[in-house]
Amino acid sequence: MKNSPVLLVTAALLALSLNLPANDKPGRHTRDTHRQSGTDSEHKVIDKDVQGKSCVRDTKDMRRNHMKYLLHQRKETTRLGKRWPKNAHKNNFSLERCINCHARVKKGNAIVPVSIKDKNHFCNHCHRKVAVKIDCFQCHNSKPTGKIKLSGSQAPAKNLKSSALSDAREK
Amino acid sequence: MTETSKTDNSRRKFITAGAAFAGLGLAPGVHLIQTAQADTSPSPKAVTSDKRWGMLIDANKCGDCTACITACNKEFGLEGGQSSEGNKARDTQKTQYIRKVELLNKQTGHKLSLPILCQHCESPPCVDVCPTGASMKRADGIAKVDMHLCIGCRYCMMACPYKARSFVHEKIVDQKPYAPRGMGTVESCNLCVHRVDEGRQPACVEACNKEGNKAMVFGDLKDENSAVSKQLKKHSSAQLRADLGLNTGIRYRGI
Repeated sequence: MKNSPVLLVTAALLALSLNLPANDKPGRHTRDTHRQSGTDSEHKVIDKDVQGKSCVRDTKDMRRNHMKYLLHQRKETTRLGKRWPKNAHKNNFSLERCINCHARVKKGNAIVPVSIKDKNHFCNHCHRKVAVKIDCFQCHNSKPTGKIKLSGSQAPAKNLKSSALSDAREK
Repeated sequence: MTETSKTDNSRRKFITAGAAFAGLGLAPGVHLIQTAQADTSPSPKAVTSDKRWGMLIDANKCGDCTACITACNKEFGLEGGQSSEGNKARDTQKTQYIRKVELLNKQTGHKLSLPILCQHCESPPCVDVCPTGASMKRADGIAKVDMHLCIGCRYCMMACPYKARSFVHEKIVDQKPYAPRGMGTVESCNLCVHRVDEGRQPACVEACNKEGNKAMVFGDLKDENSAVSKQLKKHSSAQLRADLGLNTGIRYRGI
């Protein structure tokens, strides 16, 4: 081991480089924080995912491979009847889960989940930019149907509980 | 020969040392995807032909009740569901997964009203004619449309002897998350597959037994102890258009 100091340095560098992706928080889009939130006269769109802490896979993986995961899940569920437990499994790539978790809402007098027609819809962030048309929402619902909870500074005042929100909860 | 073995040794040392350090660096963070996402839940199983879902409908009990239709429309958002142009459909192709058909015996004047839905045939003509494989039958006997593959040719609508299928003419928004449906595809009763997979009963059967006349029994036709099998064993029943030899999963009493 005559050249061991060199070895050690190389190994340390290797270890560091392998560990780097860990600093990238999964499920958060760093780009989002720099974006200007879309606004209209009444509503301010909360330009951030308001649900969940982390995605089923890390962000880089999802950006590249989400369509493969969705396609795989679609075949298994529709044709074979395989159904993962709802919201319980890291391997459940159902579109419904994506939509419910990556919920974008408008906050004004009422909290309104935005649909795919809104440029701030989660899928539109990339798909508009790269001009890849998605067919999913010709049949699938693009609005979250689960319970919507806003956390921290995004949370609305308590007395602003609106009919739109309770509608979304009932669905 | 000796030269080669020397080189090999040094390479090995380098790799071992590198791997050891890499391991040290990674271990505390547990950021390796596989480690972080280890999940112990068992992988779900595909449905098998050990089961065959079916239904027995007692036409004598059914009467004027329409609880099943209301429940079905509500479950799938068929009526009052939002569309861009007011949810209009051609009358001849109106969306109805389940509908009531009146039978009149002209000689005696005896009237019967019975619900007709997709009969979930063992050998479905809709599946035979489909050019894309969208019209499909699951292993457990549920016939349905895989709308991802449907091109909207409507051959299956022509082939179905029960008029069970319908076509979506207008754009639809705010669908139920468990029941996607959209313009340009054919749709039909899927025996509430999302409910059945959860171990629940189809919406129509649930409504019939709760609010209606308790005319519908749902269950596994291959299981001798299921309620539907027991009823089928006890009473005489009939298939609609039995002459076609389709071996339907939906059976009727009193017709």
